[in-house]
Amino acid sequence: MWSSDLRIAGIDPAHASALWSLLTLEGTRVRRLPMAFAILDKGRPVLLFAGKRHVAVPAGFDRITKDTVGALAAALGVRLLLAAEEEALRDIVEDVQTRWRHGGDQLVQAEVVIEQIRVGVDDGSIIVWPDFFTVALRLDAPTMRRFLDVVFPCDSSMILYTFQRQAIHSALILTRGSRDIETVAGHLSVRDRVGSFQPWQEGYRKILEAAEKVHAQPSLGFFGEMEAVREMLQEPRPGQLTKAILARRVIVDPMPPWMAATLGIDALTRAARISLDFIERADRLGLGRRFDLGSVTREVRSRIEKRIDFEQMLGFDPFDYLARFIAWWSGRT
Amino acid sequence: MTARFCASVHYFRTPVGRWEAILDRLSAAGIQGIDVYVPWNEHEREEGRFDFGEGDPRLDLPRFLGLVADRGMWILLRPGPQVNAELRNFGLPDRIVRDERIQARSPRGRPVFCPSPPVFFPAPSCASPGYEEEACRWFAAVGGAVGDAGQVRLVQVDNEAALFFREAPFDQDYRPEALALWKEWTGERGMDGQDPPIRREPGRDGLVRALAWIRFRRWMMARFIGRLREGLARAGLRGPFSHNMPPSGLWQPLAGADLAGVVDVVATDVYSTAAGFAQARDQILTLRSSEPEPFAAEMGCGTVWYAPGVTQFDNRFAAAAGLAYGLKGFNLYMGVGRDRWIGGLVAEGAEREGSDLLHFIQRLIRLMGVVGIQELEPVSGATIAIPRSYVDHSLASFPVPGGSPSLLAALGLPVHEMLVRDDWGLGLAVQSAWMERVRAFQEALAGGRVPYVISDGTHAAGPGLLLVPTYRYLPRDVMAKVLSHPGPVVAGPEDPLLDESLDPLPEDLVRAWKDARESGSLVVARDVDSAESAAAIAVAGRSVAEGLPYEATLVPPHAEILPYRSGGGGRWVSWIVSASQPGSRIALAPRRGWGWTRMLSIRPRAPGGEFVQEKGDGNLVIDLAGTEVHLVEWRQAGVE
Repeated sequence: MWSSDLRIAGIDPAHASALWSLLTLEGTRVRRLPMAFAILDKGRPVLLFAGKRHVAVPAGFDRITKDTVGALAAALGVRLLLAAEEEALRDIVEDVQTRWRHGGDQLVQAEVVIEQIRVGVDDGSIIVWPDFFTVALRLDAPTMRRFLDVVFPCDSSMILYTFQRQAIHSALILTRGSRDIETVAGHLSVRDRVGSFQPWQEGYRKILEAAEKVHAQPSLGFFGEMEAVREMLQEPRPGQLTKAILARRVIVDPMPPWMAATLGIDALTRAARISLDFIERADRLGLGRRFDLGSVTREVRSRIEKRIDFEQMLGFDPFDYLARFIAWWSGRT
Repeated sequence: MTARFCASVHYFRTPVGRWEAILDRLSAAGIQGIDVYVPWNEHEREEGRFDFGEGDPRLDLPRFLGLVADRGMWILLRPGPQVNAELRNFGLPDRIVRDERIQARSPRGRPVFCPSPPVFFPAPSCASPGYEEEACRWFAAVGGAVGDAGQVRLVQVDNEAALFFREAPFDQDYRPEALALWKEWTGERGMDGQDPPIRREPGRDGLVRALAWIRFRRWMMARFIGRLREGLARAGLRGPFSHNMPPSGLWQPLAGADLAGVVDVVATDVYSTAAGFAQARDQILTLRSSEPEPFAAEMGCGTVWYAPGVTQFDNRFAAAAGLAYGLKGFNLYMGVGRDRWIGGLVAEGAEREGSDLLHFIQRLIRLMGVVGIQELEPVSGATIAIPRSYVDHSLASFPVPGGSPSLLAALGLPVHEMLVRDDWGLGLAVQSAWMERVRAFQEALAGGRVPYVISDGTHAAGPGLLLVPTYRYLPRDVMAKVLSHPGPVVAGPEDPLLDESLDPLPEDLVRAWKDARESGSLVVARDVDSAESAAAIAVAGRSVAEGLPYEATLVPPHAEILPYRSGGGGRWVSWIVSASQPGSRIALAPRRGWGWTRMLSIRPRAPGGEFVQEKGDGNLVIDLAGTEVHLVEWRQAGVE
């Protein structure tokens, strides 16, 4: 996935720290995720760490099991709890080191780690709460490779820019070669070719052109107002990205098929349902052909099918899990 | 003493055509030396065949050193064998890390992977003769290339010894040569026939075995560094030789005492945010107890690509706060922006422009010349001694296989909260208790306005107050140092009865301890805020305050004043480092005949305006807005 000769260059320090603040939502309303981890000795917690502190084991939790972990999380007031037998961790480290090869395919190496954790989850020596996070343990290297190929095609670049009052707030350009991601760059890598780009809603094309010349043909260009992006990260709501695009607070150009599929997934599902209901009713009334809704439904169906492609590819519906993740992140579960 | 300010330039990552412009720019900014990494895997074309510019001009080390020398700049040379530098395999050739004769081993004989993004690699073993031989062959090649080029002022041996950040207590090193060394080491200490522990074991015996294993690994690391030093000397590199500790606060895999006699200079690395500077402070204060010229071999300037949260303000704060706590110089890492690094004094491709950070450092170096950093003598009223066995005890209590306490600490995570709290049959979880006690000492000293240093207990402490956490066991050498301390001692909460092997302490030491208690020179305080302890700290505070040219009339919590004396006391400099709440203020009233000049104020706002020249002979009042550093010079009236 990442080239061992990965080049990381041309990044303005101010843009890097702005991006970091944005991603970690420093100083915003999003609360720090309360989480805990426990190290176990035959089910008995020998270490319980929550909220960056060692904490005493609450009464009644002398042993942690799949059945009691939810109640323990509630008692600790955390939303994510990982518990692992110390010996199981030791086995995982040993097994991983047995099977890893220096310079080997990182996705294969990730698969080795996932497989070992899955064994631990299956035999109860590793407990993850809430358990929907264990969905990732179904992934294998070929699946991850296919997913990467779809999301970030070979010999292409991904461009992510945010702007604040028409100035660059953060900038990132990733380039994938014939196999791995080879370059992580910033605006300094294209600055001389871009020159002036304001207003960014027009000038973003100059950035795309420069990125294509310096790096590779863009497969995704995401340009947005910092505030709009922050709102999305802060309080994700269905249809928010679509709305931002319509208001030109965010421009996605080029928009890869997978992104089109993810765009406003709720809205699309809703639109699909409405369209299909309408056709059904129109058909019943003998008006279906007259309204010619075929193009709408074909588009919606094709987008949904793309969604289904992901499900087939990964072995689970990523959007379903994304929705559950967002709900969990927002504290609604 | 000589102040040392240098900067790292990776010639092999910088276009040859820009070398001179970069060196000129740095030299013009007052940078006196260049830190030169010489990475093995860049220069080795194939096994035993090296390119030092014969093939690739980018690798022309002699020419680069010559350009440095032409500008009158000196050199900090880093030939490795591992240099990290965010390079693949930390700069080691693939053939080295893949060589089974060289790899460190887990308890089950597996390779041990170093967690270095983007690609982990098998860590070499410091017990491997093959690794040592290969490294020395590499040194010979470097020695040949360096020759007499340049003025090498310091040669750094290896880098941040931390078992490649796989120092969890039972992760490594179980390769046969390491086990042979273990046998030899235990035999010499009357512990023959013991297999090394491979997991945490309960009870006192388990603790004794774990402590011995961790102590052995420190010895093994130091032994390796010593042998590398010899290899460098054989290669014609004359030294003096240094080694740098990782930026891990009190979680250093090696103690300074381990390297005494192994290298000439022990340095530390400082990568810190302003908010998390307490850890760097502890490292610098520890260095001060053993090094006459505390030096940061790496002072973060810009940031590594996987820690982009470090800002330019953090860089400015850390450089100034490092000097405030006692550094006499530092190497700015990086002097020029490059691959896998964000920022630096000179941005990539913009050597003519310079950066805000470059302008700041230029003025800071100039200011250090004005205040005469070389002549400044730190005033210290106390020493906190932390017996290394207690640190080892904490390491033995780290329960995450594959984890690295030193790396987690370097990333700012609270490792002390991640320890199991077993008492190992001692009746108390010493592994966390000593840390809480040291924090309490630090708070009490800050509250009493007593500047202090930190020691591992094996160096002689200064004449002031000595504070040492003591529990049921205490290493014999530390106990002997405590008893021979010329000043008052606050120990506790327990009287030691056992040594580091949990054998009873010799009767003469126990008797001497009891006598010291009875004479009043030694206080064993159950709590740091006990009356006896508080009284000792108050006496130390008064002793320091009496000599100062000012009286601190208002000092809010989380603000420290670090005084330095110069010219026999005719001139003083005070650094103020604060993490106080906005709205608080500090007030210093000059003693009769003294005046002050505020010269530096670093605050979390846009760069510029830090270097001020405010003078007065009335009360100095500074409004504090949060995390900031100030520098004030004090002179007697009429003295220029």
